[in-house]
Amino acid sequence: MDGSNGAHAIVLGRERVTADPASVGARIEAQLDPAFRLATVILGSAMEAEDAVADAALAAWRARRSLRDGERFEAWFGRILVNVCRDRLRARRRHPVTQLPVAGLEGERPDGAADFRDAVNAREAMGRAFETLEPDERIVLVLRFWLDLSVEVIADRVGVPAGTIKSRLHHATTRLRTALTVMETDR
Amino acid sequence: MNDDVVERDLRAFLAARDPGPAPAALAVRVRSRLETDRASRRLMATGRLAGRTAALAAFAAVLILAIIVARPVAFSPGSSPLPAPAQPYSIQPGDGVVTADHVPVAQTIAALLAFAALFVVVRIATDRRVRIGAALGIALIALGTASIGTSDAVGFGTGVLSVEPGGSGPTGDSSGVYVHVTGDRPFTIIVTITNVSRLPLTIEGIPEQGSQTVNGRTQPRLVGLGSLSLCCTATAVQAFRPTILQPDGSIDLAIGGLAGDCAVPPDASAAQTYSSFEHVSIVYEQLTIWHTAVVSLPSAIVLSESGVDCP
Repeated sequence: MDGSNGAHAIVLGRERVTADPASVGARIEAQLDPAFRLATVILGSAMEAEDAVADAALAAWRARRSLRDGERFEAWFGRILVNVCRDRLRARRRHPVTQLPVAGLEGERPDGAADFRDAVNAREAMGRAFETLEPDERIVLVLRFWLDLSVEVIADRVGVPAGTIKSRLHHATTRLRTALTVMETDR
Repeated sequence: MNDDVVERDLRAFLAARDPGPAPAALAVRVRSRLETDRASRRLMATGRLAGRTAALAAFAAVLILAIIVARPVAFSPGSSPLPAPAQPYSIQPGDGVVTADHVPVAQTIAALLAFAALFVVVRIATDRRVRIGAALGIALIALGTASIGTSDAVGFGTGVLSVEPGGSGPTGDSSGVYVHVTGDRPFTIIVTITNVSRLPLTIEGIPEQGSQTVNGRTQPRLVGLGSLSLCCTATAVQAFRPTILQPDGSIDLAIGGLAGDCAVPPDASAAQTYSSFEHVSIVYEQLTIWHTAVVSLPSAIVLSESGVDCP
């Protein structure tokens, strides 16, 4: 992706993207790693992320002639992926699924956590709070706090004005904080 | 809980969700889906092309059908008899004479379109039955195209050949087909024309034959065409109308002629004192295409000079 997070950025040069199937196919394949990681973080499921990436790759492949500026291929593909993830989150609300507990805690301890149990509790609480958010709110939070994209880049990626992104970020963090506070009080 | 703590916990939560590089199977899966999609789209494109080609062929077929339907209605001698004439009719110069050129441009274009479309169908169709059907269509078009330019569908089979006013031959034999007229007077040839082809056709008339002069004398010529209500006399002549002939069907026609001056033969230097018609030209239409057939007569129609005012 084209954010400031170097781990996710892939430099593809400035060659012009054409409708040449081999060229487009190669560029899609080059995006699979960052796309899979972003989709997993948004959806919280690696298996569902694989489906989302495959769907996005197919959608991009079919819409390849609509890409006018080859230099914006990553942003273009990223927008397609975000849309696919949003559709999946909305579909999930219509057909709820049981989420497994948050994985990957064994090797990490978030800064500021007093001990491992606190860290587990904090992430589980965050996971539950995160699931209460609207799909659009989850997406902007991931783009902002995981990819470290600027508001303007997120606006371009999501396809809405920057003011809307700011508003969504504000509402999302507020709802997140409220949910966490309620959970802490209940505990 | 302040915003900094929420942001810190959120970043930690999201980082913990990061699964790392995509599994190798994902690339294989994506590649496979793209390839499948490419193949299916190619198939759909082929189907679309086949559909358009079939539509083109159908259009050509409709065009041909429209040409057939739009042609003038012709009389069929087998369907109803000609009414008896109210009064004797004499063939006028120009009766049943076809003056317009009928170049089969539309038919040729339609045939080419249909041929090209069906050829494409044969090449790209995956269904064997469709390919066989298209190949049969091509064969039919080739058959129709082959008929363009041929003009042997009508001839003299069996029937009558007579001429009025008749005359006797030089030896006094009156059984021959002789015309004995004085000056540029009319005469009538009565002849049976048969459709010797395997397809119906329509007798449209005779070609225009302008008068020609040799040494200032007009040559004998055929100038008009009439139908016969009864066999086989010039008194039964009626005005001509296009007539459909089924395969092996026949019709008696009255061909009006003018004898010219002194029975001048085509070759004026020849020392002969008579002129003759050994064949007559008939214009007919078959498969929407117009032809001119030269029908050989079983006996020559001989016009001998009267001797009056002739050298």
